[in-house]
Amino acid sequence: MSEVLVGALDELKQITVVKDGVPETIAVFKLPSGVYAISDTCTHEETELSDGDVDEEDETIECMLHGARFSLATGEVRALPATQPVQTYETIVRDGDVYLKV
Amino acid sequence: MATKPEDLNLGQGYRYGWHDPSTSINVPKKGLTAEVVEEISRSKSEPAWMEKIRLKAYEHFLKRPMPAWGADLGEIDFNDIYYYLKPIQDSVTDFNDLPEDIKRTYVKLGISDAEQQRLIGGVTFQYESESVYHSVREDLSSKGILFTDMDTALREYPDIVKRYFGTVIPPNDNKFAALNTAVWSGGSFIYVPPGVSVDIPLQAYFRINKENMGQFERTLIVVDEGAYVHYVEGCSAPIYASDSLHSAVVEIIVKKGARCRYTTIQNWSNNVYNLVTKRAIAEEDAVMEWVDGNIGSKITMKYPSIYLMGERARGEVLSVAFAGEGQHQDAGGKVVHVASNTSSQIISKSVSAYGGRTGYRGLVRVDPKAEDCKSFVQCDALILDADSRSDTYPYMEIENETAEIGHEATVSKVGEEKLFYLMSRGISETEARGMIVNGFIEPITKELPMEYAVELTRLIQLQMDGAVG
Amino acid sequence: MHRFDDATLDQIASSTGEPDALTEARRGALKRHLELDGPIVDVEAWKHTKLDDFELDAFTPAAEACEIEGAEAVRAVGGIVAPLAESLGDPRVAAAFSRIGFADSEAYFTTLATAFAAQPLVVLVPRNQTIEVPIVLRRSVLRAGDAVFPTTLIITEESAAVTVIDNSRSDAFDTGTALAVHSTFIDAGPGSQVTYLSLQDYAQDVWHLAPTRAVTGRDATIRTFTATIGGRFTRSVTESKLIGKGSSAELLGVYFGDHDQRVDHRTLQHHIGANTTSELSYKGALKGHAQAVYSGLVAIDHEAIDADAQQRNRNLLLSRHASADASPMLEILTSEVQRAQHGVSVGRPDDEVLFYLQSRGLTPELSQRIFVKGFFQEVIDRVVVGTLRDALEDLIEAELDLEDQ
Repeated sequence: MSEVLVGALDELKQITVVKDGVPETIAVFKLPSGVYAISDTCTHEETELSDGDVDEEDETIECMLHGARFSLATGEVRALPATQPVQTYETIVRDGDVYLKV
Repeated sequence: MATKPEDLNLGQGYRYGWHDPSTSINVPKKGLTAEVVEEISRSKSEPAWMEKIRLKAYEHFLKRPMPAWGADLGEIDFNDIYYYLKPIQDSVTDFNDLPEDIKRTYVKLGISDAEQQRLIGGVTFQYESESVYHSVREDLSSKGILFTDMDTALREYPDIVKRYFGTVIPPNDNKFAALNTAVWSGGSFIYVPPGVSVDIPLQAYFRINKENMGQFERTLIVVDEGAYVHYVEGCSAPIYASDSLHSAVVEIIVKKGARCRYTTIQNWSNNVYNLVTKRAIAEEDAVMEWVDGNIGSKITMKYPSIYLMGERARGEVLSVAFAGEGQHQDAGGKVVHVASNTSSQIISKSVSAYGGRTGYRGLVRVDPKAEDCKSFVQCDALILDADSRSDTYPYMEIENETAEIGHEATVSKVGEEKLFYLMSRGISETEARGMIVNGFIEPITKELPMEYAVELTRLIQLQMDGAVG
Repeated sequence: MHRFDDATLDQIASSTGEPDALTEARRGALKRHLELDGPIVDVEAWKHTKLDDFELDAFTPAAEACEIEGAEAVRAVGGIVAPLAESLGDPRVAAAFSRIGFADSEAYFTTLATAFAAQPLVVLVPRNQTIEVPIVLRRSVLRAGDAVFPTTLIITEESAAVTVIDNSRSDAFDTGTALAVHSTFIDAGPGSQVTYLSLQDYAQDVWHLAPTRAVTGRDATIRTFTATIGGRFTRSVTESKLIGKGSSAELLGVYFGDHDQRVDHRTLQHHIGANTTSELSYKGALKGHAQAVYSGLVAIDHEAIDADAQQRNRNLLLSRHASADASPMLEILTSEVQRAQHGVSVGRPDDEVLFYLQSRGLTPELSQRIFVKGFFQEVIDRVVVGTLRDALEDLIEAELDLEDQ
């Protein structure tokens, strides 16, 4: 496991990391309750989740394509049509910067 | 948006074709804009989160193209529809408190008898956009069963509604789900607490009255662990020269070990576009059954679905459709096996006559991680004359090698020998054809509550007698 | 470097010495091809099939290599086995040529084939002649980067009969892939019989497309058999148009996918004339990470009374990562149908049968092997040519021997 710097706390975005030779895009979100990181690919039809709507109260992200919803904390599915959970990543905030554990 | 009068099955046995003068509390207007969506939300005094969902769904609806498959929806004019009509100020719980004309409607439809005879556990009547009458048997409410219309549910049980609304059918699932999410009004809400079995059916009846009316009911049913409920819905509308639109959304969550059966006998008049999205989630050891009868409407596009999310869950779709002159019934079922050891069955029987067109459209999918799933689909079609048509479009997407999947379909006509045999026993040709059709759909009708089976058989018989008279 | 352009087209046209009509057809096809955005011309017809990794620019048109056996038997009775360029002058060939057509959904590839096929071949059997010996066409792809377009026009006059075997194979390339588009058009005259057997065993670096269409005259019989063993990606589209009253079609197929193979079969049983019969049986086994797609339509027109149509697709999944998508479709526009039936199954070898074999002392591996061979035997037994049956059985054995991935 290594730590990858994502960016400053106020400039969060997606980041691409390479795992086992395969590039993977991870979306990072800053909510009042904390910083969350999930795989940026919807498990339904592989659209980018980072384009979707975040519900801060429920801590969920809604995919902009069909409306599938995932928990940002656990990755589990909260609304169809997705049926498989999305991968989550641990984040660490240190000195105003956000790091990902991959 | 017009259907030529001569295209309609006017006066041919559809005895619900009358209409009453239209009265409403709001000023109904045609066409859909963001303001109309806001007005609907405001007049229901909804929480802000629901208004937000509606408006977002409206945006999705505008952007989504019409489906490129299925029936021909080219003549729907979204600007020529009334999206919201509130017939009375508040719904009543005493049937006698209904305004005369609405009361008469339900008496004419024969609905109130069934209730009075205690044949059902609870009932809700929807007239145009809202529920007008509602009652539940006292013993059921005392067990904690919640059965009300969706608007009331949003007011009285907002937490449950917020938790489940849009989780089975998200706002952008398809164009018509988006439309419904924007302008939904009425529909049923049912919650059955753990372990409770609702021994006799809960029922709803939907009636469109005004010309060019759109009805967008939204139903949410949550059957908690180990519980059971059977919900039955029926519907009808007057015959007009121009078209109506019925675009409903039904979401059902069947929790661990619970069971739900949802029966529909759809008998809209032949000028209604019936575009419905119905889907259920079945958790571990749960059972979901859709029993779907499609007799009326100009065009129906409806594919009850089940997502088998928990191990050993089971889903069944029993579908019967009749398409007569000028009708296109595009129905079927969809099952997605997400968890292991799940099973499903889809049985579809369709009959087309007098140039009618039936279609079966179905999907059976087994996800890669779902082990040892079994599914069997049987879709049979009976074409009664040379001008009618039947299409079958089943899709199987199997991504786990332990699945056992079977599919069989047969399209046939009424066998000459069978007909001859019955007629040689002194039965008239019309009756003989009727008997053969009844035998054909029997696997489905035997699953219906008695009075529905009788009604369905009668309706089909009338449709068949149709132009011959 | 030859590209898919006018210059290459002109070069091919001048080297064949063909009639102007053919060159015109080439040009028209290239023009239509350039108007298309990509291979997926029709989303529904390409459902479940992805071609994201296909790049036409990786290939250049090359002359197809083909060895022909049995031509003498046809010529001896006044028939034709010759390039289209030389035989278009014959009115029978010209008539069939004017009827050539392929599924619109394959236009991206069929237009390329029309434009760049170096030597389309005509096999014509004259009236009342039965050619006892099968005509064998042996094709191979020679080099990586080649795009070849073997094109065959099979014509049988009234009451003629012929069997044509199309055999394709290649050796694996060190690097790169090749493209082979096999277009076959069968024009079966009244009362004639055409049996067309295609066995594809390319190495797994060949993109193989096989658009095939057969049209029938009154009382004609068509039998097609498609075996897909090799190839990186195979899309075989077999259409039968039963125009002639009383005509019939038997469409059989076997496929065995392994590793990362993608096998795509699309079929059409189109009943147009009265009293027509069609029967389709496609069986496939998938191991490794192979993916199969089957989509077939049985269409019975309003005037096609008393049609008898059956359609069966059976898929055996032999490994964790194999998958199959199947959509058998029916569009019936009349009630005057004798029979219209289809069935699909997807699953593992039947546990009960395996248990029975194991209880008789066979190992699990051998039991599965016997099951799979039995599964295919039923279709293979219907292949009329003995040597081809043997070849198929050997290929199935070789597939079963392959290490699972």
